[in-house]
Amino acid sequence: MSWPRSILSIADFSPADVTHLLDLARTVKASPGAYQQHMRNRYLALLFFEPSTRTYTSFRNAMTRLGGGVSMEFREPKGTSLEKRESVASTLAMAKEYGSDGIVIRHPRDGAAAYAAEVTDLPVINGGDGYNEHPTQNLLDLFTIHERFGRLDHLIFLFFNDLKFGRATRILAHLSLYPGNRFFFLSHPAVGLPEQFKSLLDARSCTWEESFDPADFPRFLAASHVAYGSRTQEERFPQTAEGRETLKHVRGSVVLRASLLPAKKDLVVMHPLPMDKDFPCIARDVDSLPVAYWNHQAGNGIPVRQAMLLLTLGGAHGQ
Amino acid sequence: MDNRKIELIEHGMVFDHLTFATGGRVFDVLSKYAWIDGFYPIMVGSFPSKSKGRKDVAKLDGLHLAEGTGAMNEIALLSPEATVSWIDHGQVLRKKKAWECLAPLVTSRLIECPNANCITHEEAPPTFRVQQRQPLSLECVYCKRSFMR
Repeated sequence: MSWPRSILSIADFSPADVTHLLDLARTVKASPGAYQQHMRNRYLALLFFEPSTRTYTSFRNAMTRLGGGVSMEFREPKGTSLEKRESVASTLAMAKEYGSDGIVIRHPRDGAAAYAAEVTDLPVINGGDGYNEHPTQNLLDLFTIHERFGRLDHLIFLFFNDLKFGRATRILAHLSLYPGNRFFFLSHPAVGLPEQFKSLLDARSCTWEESFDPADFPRFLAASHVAYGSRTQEERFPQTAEGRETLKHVRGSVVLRASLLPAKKDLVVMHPLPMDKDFPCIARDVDSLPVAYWNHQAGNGIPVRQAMLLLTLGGAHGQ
Repeated sequence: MDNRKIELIEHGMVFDHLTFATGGRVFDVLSKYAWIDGFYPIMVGSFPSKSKGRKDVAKLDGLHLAEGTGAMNEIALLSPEATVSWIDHGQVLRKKKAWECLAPLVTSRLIECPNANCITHEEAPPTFRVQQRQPLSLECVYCKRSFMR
């Protein structure tokens, strides 16, 4: 099968592409030792124009555990030539000159990864571009869901808290492709699900329900397989008096507590890290319960990103 | 340029029903492209319009522009509902709406992506995919934001 040349958007992936990735990630996770040399003499550039702890470290781990090296890396613009206004295009050209076989780029601007893929002939992996996309997060989420339930269809999802600014809801573009999936959305009205996603779900004849009333939490949780919370992205609220006032109402308005959880086993609670320690949308009393899946979810970032590198940079079938 | 008469041309192009006050920018576009192969006179005027109150008209003397190329794309972005006529021997060879002359993918700094956080505001050349021609709807190829012209 032909795997997409670059990983730019979750919307670019068919169910067959994802199945291919998840199968490989499962094999890598089960037998990491078997893949220790698959990236030997291959080099990855990690170009982080904005910081991201987990995306950076998991890609670095993924490459080195496959026997590959890092040709060029920076974790943030500070202390690099980016402070001297070096362009993305020039940085990518240097990454190529240093012998990189692929690029992971994270950038604060929307569309930066698509632009990078245009100006270099190397495969580009989008490690997050502004408010736009974070496809590698979406793919590791799909892996985690599949790992837990053995399927990606006929599942019920509850997405809660910040559905407007959180990039994790982009996963809807993929989950809506599978038959039988149903969706609940619970948030403060100021950070409700954007219309584009509702239109997409309608266009694909998906069943969904939206609520702005936290009293619906128990009902939604009782029906769901996956409860997916997203941190309130306060940095994306308008820096105006009105924006700050809205943020005050949004923060803490939707919080999943242990007392709301149903007495059933087929439920996992997921959340892309980091979690806001001051205003978490999942209360600390859920941390120690078996449903708490977010650390396991983040840990899956390494085998899933190993599989991405194998498929994108080549080497999935060995040297 | 108010109410000036625009001379008839034997061979060239007429851009009629331009959105009022875009004539100056259309002149700039035509100047940029029409001077590449020599000098071709460009005339721009502003006239009363029955449907819109005022309209601008531009003429390019001596040169035919191809559809889907630089100048035509930019004029279509500035005034998608304008009427474009190709003139030869003083007769109209063919006539089209500007939006019909637009390439499926357009790169132009004449318009900006409405997403203030888009990479086009920092480095990438503003490039748009035509989603719908009438009314004209564009999508930024980088951030995927859609918007109407």
